[in-house]
Amino acid sequence: MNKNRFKLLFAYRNVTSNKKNSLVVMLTLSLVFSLLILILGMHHTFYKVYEYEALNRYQNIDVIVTYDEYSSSRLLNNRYIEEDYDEQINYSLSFFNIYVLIDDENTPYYGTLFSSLEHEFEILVDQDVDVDSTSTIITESYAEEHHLTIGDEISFSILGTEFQYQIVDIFPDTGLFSGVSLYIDKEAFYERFYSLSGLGNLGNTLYINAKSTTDIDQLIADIKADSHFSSYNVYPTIDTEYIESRAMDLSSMMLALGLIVLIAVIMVLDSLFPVINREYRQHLGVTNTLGGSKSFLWQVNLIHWLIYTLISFAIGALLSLILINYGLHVYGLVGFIEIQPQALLLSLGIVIIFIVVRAYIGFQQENRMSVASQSRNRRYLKYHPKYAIFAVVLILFLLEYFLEPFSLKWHSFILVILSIYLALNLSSMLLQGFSSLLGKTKKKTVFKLFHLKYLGTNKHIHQSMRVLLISLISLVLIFSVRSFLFAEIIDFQDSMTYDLAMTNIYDYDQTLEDDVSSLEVTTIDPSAFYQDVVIYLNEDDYQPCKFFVSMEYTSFQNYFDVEEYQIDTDYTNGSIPYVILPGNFRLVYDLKPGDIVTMDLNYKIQGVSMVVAGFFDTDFDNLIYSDILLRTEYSDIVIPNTIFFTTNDKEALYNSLVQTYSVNLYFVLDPDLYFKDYIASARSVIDFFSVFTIFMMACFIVIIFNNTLLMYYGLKSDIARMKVLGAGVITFARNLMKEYLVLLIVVFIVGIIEIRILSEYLKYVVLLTDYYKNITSTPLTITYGYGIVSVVLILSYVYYFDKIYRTKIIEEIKIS
Amino acid sequence: MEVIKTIDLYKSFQNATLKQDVLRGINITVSQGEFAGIIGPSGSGKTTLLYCLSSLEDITSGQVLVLGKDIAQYTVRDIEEFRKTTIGFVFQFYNLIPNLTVYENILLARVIADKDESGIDEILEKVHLSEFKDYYPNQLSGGMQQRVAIARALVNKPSLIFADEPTGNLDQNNGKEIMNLLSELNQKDNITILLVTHNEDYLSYCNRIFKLIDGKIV
Repeated sequence: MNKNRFKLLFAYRNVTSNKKNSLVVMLTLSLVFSLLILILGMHHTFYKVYEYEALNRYQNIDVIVTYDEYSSSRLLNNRYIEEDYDEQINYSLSFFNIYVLIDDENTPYYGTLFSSLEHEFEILVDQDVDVDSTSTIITESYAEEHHLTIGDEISFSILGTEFQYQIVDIFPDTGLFSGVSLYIDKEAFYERFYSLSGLGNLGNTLYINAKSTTDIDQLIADIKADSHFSSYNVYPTIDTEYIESRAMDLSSMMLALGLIVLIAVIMVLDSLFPVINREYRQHLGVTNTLGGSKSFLWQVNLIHWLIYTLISFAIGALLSLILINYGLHVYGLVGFIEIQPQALLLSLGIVIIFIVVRAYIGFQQENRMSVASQSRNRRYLKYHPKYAIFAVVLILFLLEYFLEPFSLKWHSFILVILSIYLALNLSSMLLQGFSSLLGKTKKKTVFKLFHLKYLGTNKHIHQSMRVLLISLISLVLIFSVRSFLFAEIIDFQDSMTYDLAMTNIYDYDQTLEDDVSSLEVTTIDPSAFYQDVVIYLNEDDYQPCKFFVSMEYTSFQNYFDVEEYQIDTDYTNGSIPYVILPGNFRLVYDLKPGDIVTMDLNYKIQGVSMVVAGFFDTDFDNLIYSDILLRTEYSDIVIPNTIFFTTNDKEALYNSLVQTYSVNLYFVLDPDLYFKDYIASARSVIDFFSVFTIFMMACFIVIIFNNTLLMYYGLKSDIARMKVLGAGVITFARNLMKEYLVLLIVVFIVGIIEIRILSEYLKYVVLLTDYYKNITSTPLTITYGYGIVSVVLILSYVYYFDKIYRTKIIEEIKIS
Repeated sequence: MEVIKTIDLYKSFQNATLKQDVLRGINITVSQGEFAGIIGPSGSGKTTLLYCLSSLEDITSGQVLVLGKDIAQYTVRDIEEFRKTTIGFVFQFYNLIPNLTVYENILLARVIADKDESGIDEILEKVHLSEFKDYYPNQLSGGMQQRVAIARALVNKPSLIFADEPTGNLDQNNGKEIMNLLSELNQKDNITILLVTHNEDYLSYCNRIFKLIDGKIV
């Protein structure tokens, strides 16, 4: 057997001989890999989730052409698409879709009416369709929600004309045909409503499926340039830029969490080394005695770690893959998300580099002991506080805190890193001090002579306590991020204080306003309302924003409840329109009142310069206000397209608006209902995130347990000696309880200080990703974190006690 | 021929507050083929002397000449070579690798010395453990484990064996067995042996005795 084969054999034996140690190490390492892969692949995961969300909704549809307020007509001719773009597309489906108020004995409700030629609907839903002029097909969710079945009648009115249909089939919710939706034959509908026939090619929405070789962006550009469609809205179903921004938005929050989790991961990895090095101490002594060089055993040690690493990597990667796709399932989407090779390689690289460096350092430390000491296999490692380094770091922290020499994001990042170092060391010093103080009592007890001594000086215990502290901080952060996601939704809901809005108005004039005013309204105000606008901060940076509203500012405040921050009236009467931006723009892009930004409001209104007049102070960062509608120089292109209402009788106003104006293809928006999808999507994200948070919590629980176990392994020979001397079960139980309390008190005290600092600065660290999320810990999230740590620690101590109870004295005495 | 010679050997241990002189001016010689014993009360410095002679501990001052060379001047490489080829060491607590079999524990010494597997079976024969070669240390008695340790010390044919209380952890019968084995190796193979023991009964195996009291040879 040659040297290399022997090294492999030796390393393999070291892995398999101590199964308990190996299991502890591999379990921890697998969780570490899983956490790292999840954090590193978070952006890709969220991107794929949003992509699947779009794919699940739009299925095979690549491009949509539809009307908006600028369209010369509400109807499009599908023939132009089919004939002129036949080389680029497989098919184009012409639909006439409107929202209708469906009659009901109890309460009328809103539904989406799909109408098209039969074969086109068959393509859309991938089902066989058979309807006549009086029959309809509805969705399963619609049937469930309103307790409908085949044979039931559905009726609705449009401009006084009543339409009645009988349900002939119920289809599963598929893509666009979901929710409260019904399908009817378009030609029959046109004949009844418009008294026109042979208009199968006309519709208000075209769904286009492109060939696989077609460049979607080019197709869209071509259609937009086409004179037949230049006044219509043409957009891709998979908007990669929008998906990217949503993914970045969410994954930027993970940066804050990821930073702390990474530190926790490194600490946990570090705590594994004494477990393995303990075995090597004796091996090192023997090998040195036999004349072996350092490199011989170093290589065995390295191979040992690599075996653990590779097995754990495989397990961790598999675990991550299962988790991500389970999360997708919880989100309610069909698909498969793979792990990016980059995330896998990066996580493997990080861990291997850390292991190699750390193993080397540990190995060198062991080597510095004299050969005789190594051969004796001493076990007890003492903790030595590094006061000098602590003092230096503390000075650096204070200098950074008071002088603030760097920008906010770097200032926060430096403070966070330094504070974590200080907290970890402070906890050790506090534990040492606490133990020393308690040890000064006159009465000599087992707790004082044994437990306190080890609490104060044993390296394993100090390492375990630090892991406990970082676990506490991580858990509080996990809960805080989750809490923030909920707060965002609530803020969004709370900010919309209007009762109703009527949008898609293309022919606004005073007559319309007068007519509407005669209905059941309290306030009524016209506005220009755009969705998914883009704001350009400079040449390179741009940010999409969900909602843009322009109207009288005093009126705006009737319909949107958002707090102002720093509005400078010097800029509200200037020569160019002004904007009030979400507060995160101030922090992310360092904007201030007076700065100029450029905006694309829609495909017609692009490159408009506006001056920043101030910011909104809200967690919902997707609302922009501007006075552009009031500017005469823009009156040709910025026209009122939406009317906002407040009312004392929302239901009556809603019914009136729908019955009167849906025929104009205006859309009546009830924020409670309309944003239900948006909120549902946000809640789905929380559900998805919950899968990860639960897993991360489980990881930290296992880590806390593992570390308590490592403490036991470090002390078991001494515990055996105490048992020889007669220490009994009750003595151990009582003293372990005291030990638990001491550890918990130290972790609580230092934890409170550190969480306070992180609460203040961690949200600004997120600015490093050019996003801002006001993530702070609340009393509730802190309580959850402390609660879990306390419970898990006590459970791990119960397990510790059980291990002590089962310790076989003779085995332990013999080994030492 | 002098195998070992010490000249004014001093060894002190020092920590932050205390300096302890363990060996004070040791001058001894051991010739080729001798079976020398070092005896003395607990704390006299016997084990420390053995460790200094075998390069396991550094000396404070003086010289330790092994086969004419001052090992205190050895580089790290020299020491490794010294341990591989010149000496073998037997500890009181065997210090076998628990994860390796009997055969592999002995093989370890060969592998470290970049040598092949030849000679292992013969050594196992010599120590009467051939049928146990695939056993793990925890499956053997104390005496058997010590024989494995001796086999490991011998497999590279060293000139010199250092044995630190090799019988200290064994019963009388096993202890005698080990001493007989060492004696046989000394007489048949002319291996020089330096033995530390507190058991005066085993001194009868030795043809040279050094008595150590308070760090000095008396």
